[in-house]
Amino acid sequence: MPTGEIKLEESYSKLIVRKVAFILIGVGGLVVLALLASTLGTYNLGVKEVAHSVAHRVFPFAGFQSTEVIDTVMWKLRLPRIILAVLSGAGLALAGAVMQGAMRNPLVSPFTVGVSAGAAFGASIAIVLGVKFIGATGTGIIIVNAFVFGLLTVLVVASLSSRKGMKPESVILAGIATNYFFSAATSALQYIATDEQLSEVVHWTFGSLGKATWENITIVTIILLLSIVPLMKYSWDLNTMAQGDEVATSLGANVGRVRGICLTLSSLIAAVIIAFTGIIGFVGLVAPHITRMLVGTDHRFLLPASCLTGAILLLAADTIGRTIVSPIIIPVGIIVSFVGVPLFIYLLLMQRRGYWS
Amino acid sequence: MNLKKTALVLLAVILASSLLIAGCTNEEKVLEKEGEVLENKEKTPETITVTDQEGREVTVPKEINRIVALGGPALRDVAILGAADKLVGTDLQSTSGNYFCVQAYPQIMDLPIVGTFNEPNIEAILELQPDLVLVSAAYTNADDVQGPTGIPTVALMGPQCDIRRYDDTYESLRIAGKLLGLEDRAEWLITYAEDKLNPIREITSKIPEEEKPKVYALVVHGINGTLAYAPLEWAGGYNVAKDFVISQDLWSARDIDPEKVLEWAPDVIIFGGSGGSTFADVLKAHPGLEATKAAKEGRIYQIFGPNFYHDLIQLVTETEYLAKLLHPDKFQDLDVEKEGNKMFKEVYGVDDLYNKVEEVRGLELYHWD
Repeated sequence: MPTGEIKLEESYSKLIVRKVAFILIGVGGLVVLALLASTLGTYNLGVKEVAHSVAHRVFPFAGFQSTEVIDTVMWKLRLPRIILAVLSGAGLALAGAVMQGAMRNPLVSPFTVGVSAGAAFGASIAIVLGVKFIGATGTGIIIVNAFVFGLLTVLVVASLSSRKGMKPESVILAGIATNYFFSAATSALQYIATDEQLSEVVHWTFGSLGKATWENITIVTIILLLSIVPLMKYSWDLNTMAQGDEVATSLGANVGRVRGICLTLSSLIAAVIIAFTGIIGFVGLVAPHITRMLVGTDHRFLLPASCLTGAILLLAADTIGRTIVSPIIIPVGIIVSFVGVPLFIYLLLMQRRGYWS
Repeated sequence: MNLKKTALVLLAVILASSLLIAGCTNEEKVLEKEGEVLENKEKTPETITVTDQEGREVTVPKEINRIVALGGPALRDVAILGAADKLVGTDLQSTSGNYFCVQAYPQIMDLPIVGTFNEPNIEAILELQPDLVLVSAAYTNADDVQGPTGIPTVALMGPQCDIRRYDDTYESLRIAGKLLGLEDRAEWLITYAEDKLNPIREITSKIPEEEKPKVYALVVHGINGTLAYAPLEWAGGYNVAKDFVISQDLWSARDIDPEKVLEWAPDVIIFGGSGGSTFADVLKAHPGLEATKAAKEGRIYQIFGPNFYHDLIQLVTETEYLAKLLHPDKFQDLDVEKEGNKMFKEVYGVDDLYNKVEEVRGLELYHWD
């Protein structure tokens, strides 16, 4: 082989190795952060107590001791919360990265098609009007409403834009329309609400991880797993679509279908997460950009790496939010921007060449 | 190009001047109506002056026959004084059947609407030609109404469920009483409430702090500051949130870390709000609570609560309710439900109001039978 080709192969392999290494370091970082987060909290627990509490459930026969209260703090409060933070961060970032790739637009997020506006509307009609779906009770009412109306917006946008051949501009414009419509509807509900209904609606929009239970986590995990597999498979298609619809089609990608499925699955992920957490912004939009600056735009690495970035970001934000003015918890939706923006600006200033496309 | 520019400038001038003309016309209409109101005032020269709860001095006609009440607090004062028949208009949220006084005087639900609880519609108010407008100090600035309408507007605080502001409740009643010529009734109500509360407070004040059950007020739909719920204090409960370093006014129960609640280890949990929540729902919505002593002993109770719809007599009956729950040995002979209905009957003249509102709000209060 001529030396030029060998060099090219070598440098490409090195690049791939770097990217894989980055992902592995990311996983390691996430694990460390999770361990750290499990030892931090309002209830004063030492590392030993934390370890024992975890160990005695995981290895029941090894004779570790723990008290009921400590177990409740660890297994009912902290661990579910940490896991939900990781899942939500990963899910939103993944949804964002996929949306940006499928729409070929750096400004879209999982909420572009109106999922957040629809979900907020769903939550509002539950809180202000008591409208709910049969069978839903207690907190489930808001969750189901938010999920259903979040998905409803996707259906509206999908049907509107499929008439236009699923072009990115049509999707985004239809999304803008649904966003404004549902936002206005939500505002109208807030207008007629009582003092405390109003405060509850607003509080819901802050985005919090307070509803982290094993039941809820299972639902999110299932949906996430079901969506991740097809999305990862589309990595190559997303890579080619970056060159334009015509180029991608000539390379064998079914652009319309890929876009449609990416849209649907991203919104599904976003809807199920929002239903439980309320609106957490920033992660879906910016985590993919942060990742692109570090790993590049190859979706085979961008998608998993975005999951890591989102997870780390949200976990860090939530841990700060529940410890910084303990025992008050500042909702994670508020903190995540304060945490992420400095990082984003730093990377923006540091990067040497354009990273988009 | 020139033609286009000229056309655009011309259009802009026309638009601007038409807006100005429209603005002037509206002002004239308002001034006309103000003139009418001033005329009415001159016909009834007898006036009194009160200082409202915003600190303003307001001169009102002595004879008041038409009242507009904006916001729940103002409405409740009018109703509890027995002047609900003088109401000619109220805000949207105040027509809700969740209020004790609205259940007592159902005609309130059919009153003309003059805006939302924090945003009055000036034109609607003017149309009704009231003699007096009562606003809730917490939501509206009285001058925002009195300015454009010229109608005497008085700001009231209404019943306060926060123990640190409870005295405003009586002050509010006294002002409203003075305005409506119902000072005796206002004093009667205050004495009535105090006569019911004093025996309970006397007993509970003798209980040492360490022996008071630790109570966590999980006012899920609560407004900030409602952690200092007066009936809880009076009933001899130790409010675990008292130990907050940060001002209680900024937070409500939903902002508190559940880990902290576990640390407080409450003996009793009370949850209030808009109803529709059961014991099981509360536990499900608040992971971690099931490990508290309160949950394990089944001592989680729903209350009417410090919410939008609380009422003076509610605060009294709630005190009895909590006192019996927290200190059953000291209040063995107290029949909370019977007393509750009796009090509402004596104040509002309506039977079974305690049960009625419990049903309307979808609450599941504790019953001792």
